[in-house]
Amino acid sequence: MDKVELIERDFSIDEVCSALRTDGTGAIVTFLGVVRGAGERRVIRLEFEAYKEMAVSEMRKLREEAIRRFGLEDLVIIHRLGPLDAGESIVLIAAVGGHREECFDAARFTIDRLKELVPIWKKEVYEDGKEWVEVRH
Amino acid sequence: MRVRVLFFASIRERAGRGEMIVNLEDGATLGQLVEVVEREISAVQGLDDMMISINGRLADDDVLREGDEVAFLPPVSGG
Repeated sequence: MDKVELIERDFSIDEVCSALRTDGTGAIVTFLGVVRGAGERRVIRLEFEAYKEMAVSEMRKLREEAIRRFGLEDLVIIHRLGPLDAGESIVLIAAVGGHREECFDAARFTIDRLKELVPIWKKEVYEDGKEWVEVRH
Repeated sequence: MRVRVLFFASIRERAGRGEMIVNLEDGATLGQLVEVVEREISAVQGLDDMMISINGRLADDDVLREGDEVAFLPPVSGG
């Protein structure tokens, strides 16, 4: 399993977590981002686009930074591309370590930084239109 | 020299294309590239205010080289 992936297909959290655990693992914290349908305007689906080469390279750098910073055993980042319907999975972060504290902190750090730095964009598709989401940090 | 320009998301739609090749004088800067692109595609303006990458890294050098890949990146919204 690649530890950083930008893919169209869905992933299995169970498979990812099974592949990650070692004799030293005491905790795995997972963050799963999901397409939210309900909101001010009902979202039917999201359409994701990326600058793939740069996005993968930024995700790799982010993974290495998080592992070093929080003393993790391992970290997986999987982000999906293409059209994703409401309710589908978008992104998985799995932080693996000896203890829960560093895993919680690392999972939050990683998803927050991913949202700020990695060149991936989403367009919200409503019943009566579409709109790019552009978040200014 | 030739530079490959990439557009993504909202700016790709405004530009009506995902990429273009721009011919520039040797030693040209990012600022000069922006001028050429904005002149050629009137729907695309304000590129100076965007995040820009050169060869997949956020641009910290102003001088362009033959074969560089320059991408204009709208504010990101992954996750």
